[in-house]
Amino acid sequence: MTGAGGAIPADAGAAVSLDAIRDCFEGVVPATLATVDPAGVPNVSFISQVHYVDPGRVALSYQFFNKTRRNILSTRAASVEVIDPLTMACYQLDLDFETTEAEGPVFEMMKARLSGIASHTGMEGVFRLMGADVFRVSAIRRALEPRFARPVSSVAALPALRRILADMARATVLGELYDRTLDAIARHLGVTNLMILVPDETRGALDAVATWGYAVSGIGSEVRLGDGVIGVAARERVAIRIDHMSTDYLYGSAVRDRLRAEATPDSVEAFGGQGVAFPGLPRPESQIALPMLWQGHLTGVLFAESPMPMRFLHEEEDTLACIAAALATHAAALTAALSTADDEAEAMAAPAGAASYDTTVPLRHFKADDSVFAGGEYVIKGVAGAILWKLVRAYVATGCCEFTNRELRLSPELRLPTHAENLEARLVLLERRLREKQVPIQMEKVGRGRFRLVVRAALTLQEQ
Amino acid sequence: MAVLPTDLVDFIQSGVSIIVAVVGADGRAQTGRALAARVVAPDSIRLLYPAEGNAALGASAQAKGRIAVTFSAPLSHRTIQIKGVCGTAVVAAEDCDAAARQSAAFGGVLSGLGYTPAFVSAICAYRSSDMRALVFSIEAAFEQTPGPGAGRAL
Repeated sequence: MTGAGGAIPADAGAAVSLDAIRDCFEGVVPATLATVDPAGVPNVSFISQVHYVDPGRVALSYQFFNKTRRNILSTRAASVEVIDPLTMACYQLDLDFETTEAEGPVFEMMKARLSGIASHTGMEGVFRLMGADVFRVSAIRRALEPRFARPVSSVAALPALRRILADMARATVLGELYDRTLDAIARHLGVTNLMILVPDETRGALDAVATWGYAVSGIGSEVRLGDGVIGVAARERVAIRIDHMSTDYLYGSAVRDRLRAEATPDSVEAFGGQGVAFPGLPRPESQIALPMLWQGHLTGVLFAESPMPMRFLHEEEDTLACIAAALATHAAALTAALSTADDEAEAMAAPAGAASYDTTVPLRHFKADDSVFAGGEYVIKGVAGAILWKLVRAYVATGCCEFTNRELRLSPELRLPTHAENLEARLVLLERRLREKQVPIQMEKVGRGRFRLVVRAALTLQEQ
Repeated sequence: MAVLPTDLVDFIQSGVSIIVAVVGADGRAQTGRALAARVVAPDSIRLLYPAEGNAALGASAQAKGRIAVTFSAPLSHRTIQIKGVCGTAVVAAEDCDAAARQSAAFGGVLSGLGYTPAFVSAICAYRSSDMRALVFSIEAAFEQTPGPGAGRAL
C-alpha cells in the first residue's frame, strides 16, 4: 500500500474517455459525420444522433441509403465530430464499423430518441430509423477546448441516490416499497411525475400499481407491451427515454381508443367509455422508463416524466436505472420473505357468519379478459381480476373471508406465472383498486401471507 | 468543373452552417468547421475557418487534397454538399467582412431557434487573428436536404 508521502501515480484516465463526454451524445447539437469512398473522395453530412452504447462504442442512426452509408459499408470507417452543449468543447472520434442492428435494445433506444429529435426539429415523418450502425471508437481527440465551465448541477446524483436507497431499505411490505421509492425519488431527485407498473404476462400488458404527482392516481391503468416508452422498455428490457415528446410515443387518447375498441360489447357498455385512464401528463416533453429486472425476469417498470424537455439525460438515466435495479431486488426479497411466511400460514376457514346488508352489489366477471365490474363500474382485469373473482366466489359459496397467499399461488385456475413476486404485486394492485373505487369489498392484512376480505354488502355474481 | 446557379451562390453566402471533410494522411476522413464561404469565381469557393481545431483543413490545403463541404440552413433544413480539390489561400480583408456578416446572420438564426446567447457566441465565434482561408474548386454539387431526394447531383 502506498503511504501518504508516496509518489502520486500518473493519471491513467488522462486520455479522453467516451464516458467523460456523454453530454455530447444528448442530441442538442447535430454531429458532423465524415466518410471517404474507395476512390478517396470525402463526404460530409450532419447526423441526427450519435448514441452512446458502452465505454468503447457508439451507434449512428442509419436513416437513408445514401453516399455516407455506401462509404461506411465499403471502407468500414468514419469520423464524427461532436460538441458538448454545456462547455462547447469539441471532440473528433475515429470510428470503425462493426455491425448494423435493425431490432433489439440499442435499436429501440435510438428509435425512441430519434423520434423525439424528429419531433423537436420538425422532421416527423422524414426521420425513420432503418438501423443502428454500431462502431468501435478507435480514437478520441479534443479539437476545441471547453469554452465554458461545466454548470454545477442543482442535484448531486450520488448523494441523492444514497438517500433514496436508504429510504427504500426501510420498507417492510411490497406496497410500502413502491410508495417509499416514488416518494424518495420525488424528494431527493426533484422528479415531479412517477409511476411503477407491473407486468401481467397473461395479457401482454403492464398495470400501474403506484403513482406519484398526478391529479388522479390512475392505479390499474394499462400499458400494452410495446406501447410508448414504458411498453418498449418492458419488451426490450432496456432503458428507453425521449427528450422531446413525439406523437409516436404519446399515451392518452390513442391508448384509450384502442382499449375501447378491443373491449367486448358488454364491457364497453359497462365501461361507460371510461376505463382506467392513463394518469400521465397531458403534454410531457421528457419521459424515461427503466425495466426492473430480477434474475433475468421483468418484474416491473419504473417510469418518470416531465413537462420540461431534456429533463432526463445520461446521469438521470444512470441514477434511475440503479433505483430500478434496487427496486427489483428489494421486491424479490420482500416477496421471498412472504413466501416463507405463506408456508407457515394456515388458511382460516372460519366463515364470517350470515350477515345481512341493506345494499346488494352485483358483480360481473368477463371470462375473456378476467375483467370484473361492481355495480356496473369497471374494477380490474387480468390476473388481479381473476384473483378477485376467485375470492368473491369463495366468499359467496362458503362465507369464508380469510385467505392465504399460498392458496392463491397454488390455484391452477389463476394461471399465475411462475414468479412469486408477480402474485404479491397483483395483490397490491387489487387492494389499491378496491380501496380507490370504494367498492364494499376491501382487503385487510391479517398477518404475513394472509389477508381478509371485508365485505359490507350482499353480493350477486354474474359470469359472462 | 461545375458552375453554381445564382440561388445556390446566394444560399451558401447567406450565413449557414458549414461543415467540412478532408482526407488525412492515413486515408481516414477528418472533420472540420468553417465560418463563412465566398464564391470568388464561377467554379471556385473560398472558405474561412478558425485555426483552432481545424489543423486537418490546413494540412489538406497544403497537400492540394480532396475536400467536401456541406452547407445547411437550420430552419429550412435545406442542405447542399460541394466537392472539389482544395489549395491554400491568404486571408483578405473581404474574407473578414464576409466572416463577420455571415457569422452574425447564422447567429441570428440560431438565436431564433432558442439557443442561448452563450451557445450562439461560441458556435459563431470568430477572431480574425485565428482565421485561416482555403480555396477549393467546384467539381460536383449534391442536394442533401434530409429525405429521399438527398444525394441527387445538382
